[in-house]
Amino acid sequence: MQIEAFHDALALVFTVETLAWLAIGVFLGVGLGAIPGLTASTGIALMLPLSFTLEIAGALGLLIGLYKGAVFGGSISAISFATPGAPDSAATVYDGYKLTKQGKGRKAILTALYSSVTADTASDIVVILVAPTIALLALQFGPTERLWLMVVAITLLGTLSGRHLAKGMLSAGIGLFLGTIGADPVSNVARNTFGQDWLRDGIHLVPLVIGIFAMSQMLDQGLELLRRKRVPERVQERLADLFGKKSEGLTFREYLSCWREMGIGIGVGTFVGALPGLGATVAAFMSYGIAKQLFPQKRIGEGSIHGIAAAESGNNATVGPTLVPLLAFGIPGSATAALIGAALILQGITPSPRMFTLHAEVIYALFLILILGNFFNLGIGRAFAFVYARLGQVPGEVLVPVIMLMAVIGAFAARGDASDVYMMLGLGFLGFLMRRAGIPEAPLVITFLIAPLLEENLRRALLINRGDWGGALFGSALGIGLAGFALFVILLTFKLNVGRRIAGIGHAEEERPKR
Amino acid sequence: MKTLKVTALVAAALSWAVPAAADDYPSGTINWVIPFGAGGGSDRLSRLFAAEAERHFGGARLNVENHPGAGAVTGWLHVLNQPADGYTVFNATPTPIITLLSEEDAPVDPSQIEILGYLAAFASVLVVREDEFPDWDSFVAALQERPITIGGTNALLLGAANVIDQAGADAIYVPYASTGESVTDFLGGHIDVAAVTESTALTIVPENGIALINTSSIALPEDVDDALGNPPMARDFGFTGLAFPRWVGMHPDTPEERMAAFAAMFEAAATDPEVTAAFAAGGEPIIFLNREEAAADYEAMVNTMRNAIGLLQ
Repeated sequence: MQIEAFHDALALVFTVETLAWLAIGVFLGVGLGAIPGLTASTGIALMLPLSFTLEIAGALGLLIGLYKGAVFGGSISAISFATPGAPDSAATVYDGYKLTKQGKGRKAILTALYSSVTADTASDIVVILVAPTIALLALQFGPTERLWLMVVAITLLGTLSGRHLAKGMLSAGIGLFLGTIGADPVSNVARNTFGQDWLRDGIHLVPLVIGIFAMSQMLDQGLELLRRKRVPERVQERLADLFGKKSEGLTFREYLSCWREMGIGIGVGTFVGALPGLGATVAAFMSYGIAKQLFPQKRIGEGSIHGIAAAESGNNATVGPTLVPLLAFGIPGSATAALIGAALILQGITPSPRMFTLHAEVIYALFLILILGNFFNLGIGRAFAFVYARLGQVPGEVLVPVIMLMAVIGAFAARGDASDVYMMLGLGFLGFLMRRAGIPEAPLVITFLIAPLLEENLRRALLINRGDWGGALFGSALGIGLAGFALFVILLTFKLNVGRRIAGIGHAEEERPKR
Repeated sequence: MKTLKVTALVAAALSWAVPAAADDYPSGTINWVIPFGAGGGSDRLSRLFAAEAERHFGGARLNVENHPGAGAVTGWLHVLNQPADGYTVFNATPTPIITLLSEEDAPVDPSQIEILGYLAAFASVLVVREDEFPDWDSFVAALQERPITIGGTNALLLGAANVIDQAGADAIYVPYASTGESVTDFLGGHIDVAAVTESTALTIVPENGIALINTSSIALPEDVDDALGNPPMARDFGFTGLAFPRWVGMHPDTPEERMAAFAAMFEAAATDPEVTAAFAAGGEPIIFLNREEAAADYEAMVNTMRNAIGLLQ
């Protein structure tokens, strides 16, 4: 470590101005993140002009604080309203909203906050200690390896298909089809657009997530409201529980009981974050899927804090590692990293490997801000989460329309495109029909998210190997290893399922009255 | 009689309205349409331009409007659906042109715009590992001996395909959704060449590669060219280069005097030292081409792209 540069970094960071901008960034981030449709990258883009006018440490504090706050903030509306603030928090809806309906919303939000901050801090420390190693490891993942990583993700997430395989497959098929709409990733020619130009860019993830998770639930609850008015009032009462003195918080023991899930989230998030093009949503779903697969006894997906801990630690653990390719090679690995890179350029610092020698004090300042940002996130997030969630304290009859309105605003806000609103409404109706038919929505969202990435990488691998499938699929030892791991997960899942069925039969035999 | 009265009133109204509008132009708000969402590079630069250069537009306000969608064609259709009165400006990149040229039944032709200038232009620079391809000649020789993989976004691959085709060679073009992914694959040795913008090339050269060729028709800024080791340009080998401009245009039916007035104001703004300094600080220096130069380059670019797109498919 260059001691002089580190001292300069301390002087840059520990000023009232820098700390104030960091606090403002986290505050804005949590608020923006909790508004559906406004993601971390939108918030950073909005704040970029302001950052031009600040000193380098203040600018980094504002933008990184906003980034950290926004990734956590998305979970607040996911838990309170079943409307993920950003796609990163979609996996949090499963357990979070169920806990809110059980009157344990406060516990759910605190679990999200503590697991987010824990994972974020741990991954930041990993980044600071071994950023170059992670970056070099990420370079080993070419199209072949990334395609197998996607296959591993799908096999790990297979457990989210629910009890009925056929219904899970149908849901996955719908997601696969929706994921193919838009420009072909290789030839750029429109496909499956039914001649509609507005479908050329494909279906955007934000309206899909809001439609499938939030609007479908609200249509369902709206119908219940019409049938018997007590149901939404019950949810409203549960939201009110967030503030009541009797509402259930999170004990230290419960927090510690999530250490395995947070460990999974830290591992998955740190690595996925360092790989360009995957992002926090993939990390959250992968972490959630692994935890659900490994710990069936924790009843993840049925209103478990362990599910929230897995998903939220998975997405927040990507925050620091997203900057690894930027710091190690000058490559922005995500839209948010690109915006932070743009802020550095505007401050006269070109992100490149030379940064470590030319501007070491800025790198150390960035590391310090990454760590400090987590403490600000903890304090501000805790206060802000409950203030924001007060928006849920509306009369029962108003709750459902308010969330529907939020869903419409969120779908529009993401890109400012009115067609996204129609898309969200259509998908909301589709989600509603699926819920009524008992078809799980998770496989749809997962295949929609992962299948295009898998296709892109498969086609790139085929292009690089000139159409040779053997080379494209098994051209490297790492690729073969990942393929073997995917096969292992499939066999393990099969064995566990068979084991559970046998155990279930045995259990039923025991319970049967003896003659 | 009644019809005559109405006609006379309309004629009077028009005779009042048209000269007054021509005299006052511009007044009120000029809508600066970009075909991309908020937060991207085009959005950032458009807002920077609106903030820094508004004073050159005769008191009119520059209002940046985002009309994303349909491969950046939605914004184009929006401009064509607005009144051709000089109050709607279209600021785009080659992205909508690539979309339109890729479609069999495109909703609009790339010629349906009146080009009024270029604000900036980026180049497709081919970055290679020096030990594999020390210079252009060795690269072409290798292309003729074995398949070489070149990765980049679609626009940047077009620049590469354009010069490689003129060199009488062929390559395997691997499209990527983002530059980050293609550069990672280049650094990891999964592809042989990365087609990148000059600003991305600056992050790779000299530690991890050399700039083999600037495939653009427009020279790089001197300091960038020096930092990249002064790579040869397409024209140094007798090839027609392909630049990727941030072009500015208007509805083709806009009255000529308004287009001329706008082009003059745009030139004054884009050559203002304060504005150019702000863009340079933003990492994308202004590379201004006036109306005549830009229109000629745009026509050549569309024709070149029409051929190059076939090479990628």
